[in-house]
Amino acid sequence: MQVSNIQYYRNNFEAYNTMKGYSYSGITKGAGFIPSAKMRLGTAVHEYLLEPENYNHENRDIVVPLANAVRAELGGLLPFLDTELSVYAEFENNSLILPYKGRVDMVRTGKIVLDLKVSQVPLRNSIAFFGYGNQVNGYMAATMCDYGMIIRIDPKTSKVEKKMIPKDHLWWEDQIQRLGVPKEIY
Amino acid sequence: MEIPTHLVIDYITNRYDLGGNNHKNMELTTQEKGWLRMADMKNTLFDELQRAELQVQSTLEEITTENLKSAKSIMAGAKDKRMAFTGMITDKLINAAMDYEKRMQNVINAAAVVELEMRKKQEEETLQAQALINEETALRNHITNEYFRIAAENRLNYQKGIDASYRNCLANRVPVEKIPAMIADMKRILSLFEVPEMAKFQRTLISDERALQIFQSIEKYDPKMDLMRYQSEAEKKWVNYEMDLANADVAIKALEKQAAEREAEIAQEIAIETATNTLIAQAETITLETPKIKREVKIIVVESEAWAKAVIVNFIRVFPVDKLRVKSWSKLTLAQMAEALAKSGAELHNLKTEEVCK
Repeated sequence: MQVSNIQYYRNNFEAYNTMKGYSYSGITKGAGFIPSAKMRLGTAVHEYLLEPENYNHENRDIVVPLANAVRAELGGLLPFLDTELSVYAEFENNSLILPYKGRVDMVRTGKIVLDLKVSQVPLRNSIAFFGYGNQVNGYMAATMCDYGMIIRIDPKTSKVEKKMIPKDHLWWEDQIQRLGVPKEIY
Repeated sequence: MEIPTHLVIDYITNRYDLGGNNHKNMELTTQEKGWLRMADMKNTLFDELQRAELQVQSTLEEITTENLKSAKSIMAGAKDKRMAFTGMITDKLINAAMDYEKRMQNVINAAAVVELEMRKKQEEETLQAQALINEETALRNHITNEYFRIAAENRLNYQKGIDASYRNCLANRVPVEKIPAMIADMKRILSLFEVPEMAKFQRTLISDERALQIFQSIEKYDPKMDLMRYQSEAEKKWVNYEMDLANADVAIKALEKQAAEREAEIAQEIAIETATNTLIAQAETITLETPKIKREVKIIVVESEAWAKAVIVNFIRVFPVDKLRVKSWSKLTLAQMAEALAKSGAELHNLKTEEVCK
């Protein structure tokens, strides 16, 4: 799989929303799904840690300790990461092109993608069940990273679990085959 | 209506006798007869106990010292009879039945000791294996980070050498025609630069052979490529020398500022790379599951007055009265105090503790 025409949009969620392209959740869940209460908690932790200007300070007693636990894990790396980076790229395989879009939690472009999950489900179960590996591999391809990592924080215990995601484009190559457009007419 | 047991026995016996053919097979065994007699004894006892109760009630219709004494004596007699009967049940039935459990418990206890030792050994082995995995991860991380640091510092040293030489040329107003010789000299000097050494890693568990395997599995930094690159950079550096020489002092200041910024950038790059590699190494470390061993701290009981006083003194010291929740103060025992103290995790004076594994 080749990746080209990479475009980054920093701090511009509106641009991401209006971007054309297939995101991982767009492919797997379809458009317009309603986030659950647990997902909203996850979003709040994301916001507090990565986009504090967007955090509405609800559930502070839960959100702040979780965000601090993640911050402690990242050590001095957090200030040097691009956070909530919207990315557009074109994935190509067998002369078919799939326009891709994704919103990466944390990334050192060219090196590592860090995806944050707020969940009680251990990663050994959730990665296989929700296909998180495929999601992270989309981010990795679009940001030219060889390394991908999921950081899970348990909302009840504040315990952090980290797991590396091996580089594997197979799932995305299947999507290109399924949804891609011939290069000549793209 | 209660039918006396002996009548029941007679009825059963007669009935089977009347049956004729199976006479021998239908006879009750001694044990069966004994069980039936026991029921008879129970009924007789309960009748006697009931009579004693009525006797006590009637005696105490008129309360006098004598009557009270008589009532107590009747009750004592009843108690003796009751205990003779229940004591027999305890000895012949309950204790005998419990002996099976006791013997089973002994076997189970002995097996539990062995099983606990097995789990402890397994835990120790797992912890040792985990420690080895952790050290291997740390070594891998160390080598990766050290190569990055060495490469960054090596490049910085080359750059610093070139920059310093260039600034010296400007400061000493070296004429342009001498520059080609300067560059050739600079290239030679660069080739003499020593590559920074790898910091030593303190191994405690990894064998020499395994350490070598790990070392060889990591892509090494090749300083030759950087030397060639910076020798080429040295040539490029002097391209604008003539122009810089025309305003040497300003050029030197600008170059010094640039060099300081570059150094800070490289230091930051090393810090970021090290933090990233450490994060990756932590995530890649395999975590082994240790067998579950429940550990409890218990206070060693010493049957002495000093021990009892020590428990009370520690209890008062560790648990402020206003924060204590006790169901029944009158039933609070030393054993309960000692248990609470052991669970508190507080430092205890004049009491010895032991760790109990389950």
